Amino acid sequence: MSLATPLDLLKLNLDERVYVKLRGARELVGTLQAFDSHCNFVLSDAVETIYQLIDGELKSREKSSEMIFVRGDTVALITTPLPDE
Amino acid sequence: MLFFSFFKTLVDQEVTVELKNDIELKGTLKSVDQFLNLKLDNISCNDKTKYPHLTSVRNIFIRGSNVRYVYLQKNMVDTNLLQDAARREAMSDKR
Amino acid sequence: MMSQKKDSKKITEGEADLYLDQYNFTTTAAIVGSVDRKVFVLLRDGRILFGVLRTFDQYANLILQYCVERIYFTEENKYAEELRGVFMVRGENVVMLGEVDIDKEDKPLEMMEKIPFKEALKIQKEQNQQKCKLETQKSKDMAAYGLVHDFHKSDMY
Repeated sequence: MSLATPLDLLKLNLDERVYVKLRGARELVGTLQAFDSHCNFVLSDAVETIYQLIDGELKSREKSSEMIFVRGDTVALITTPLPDE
Repeated sequence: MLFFSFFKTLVDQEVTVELKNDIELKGTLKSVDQFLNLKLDNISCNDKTKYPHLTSVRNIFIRGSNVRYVYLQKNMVDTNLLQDAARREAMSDKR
Repeated sequence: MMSQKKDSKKITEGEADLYLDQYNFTTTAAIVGSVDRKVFVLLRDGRILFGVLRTFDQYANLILQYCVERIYFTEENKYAEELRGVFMVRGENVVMLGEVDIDKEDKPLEMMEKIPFKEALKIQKEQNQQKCKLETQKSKDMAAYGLVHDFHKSDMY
């Protein structure tokens, strides 16, 4: 399979765990179920990490969801998760 | 058009929409269009103080551009079918 | 579209389906049933409008008649409103639109104190400026951690 466009790479990640960095100081790790050319996608068994600055200190909280649709315009980057994630 | 079709299969199911201002709206998905604008019935909102009038609102039209996430239940989605559709969509984009 | 609507009085969801065939876009499907009814519209700049939806198009551009703008200060349990007349709203500024149940709409207001609109506008302006300053600083602080804090001056809703 040739990888002609960046989104072709995502095709190889279908049904695999992916890490997504989002605008709004958020990250998602989940199993990629679908995506389109706008970078909209659906993840299953997803864990969202939301970062907040409280008194200059970076705090994070996690939120899980079994199935989530993410609108592409908030997506910054997509990669495979680190082994410990 | 993958997600347009995808959301059409979710019509009449209960979903939670998170907007980019962190507000969450829960309701029955009633319709969707090609911009992924959504229409929900019987809505409830996680933050009642911000928009007090929402208690008197029956159905709501949400412009897709303000959506961050849509939370779904696992049993609403046939993941095999969805992955297959995503592969086919990726193929057809190329042509 | 306007002339078609003039003759019909109230459009139910079922009848709305009949209109569908005539349009290639389906945004219509969602809000055609709300035409000639009282709706509220939330705009991206935080404005809340109540009025009668007269017409719209595929971009969710709207015409609202008898439009009332309302400002809430829920923490202080106060609100203000003013009749603003006819609005043409450009679709990209719409966050959401909902049909209002006119039997219930005044309920949340009964518990609140009404203040003059001019006064409310002034307070709202100050609040927005404050928020803008705070969020802009947040964006800078977040950037130091490689995080994108999503804030746009135009998004005050």
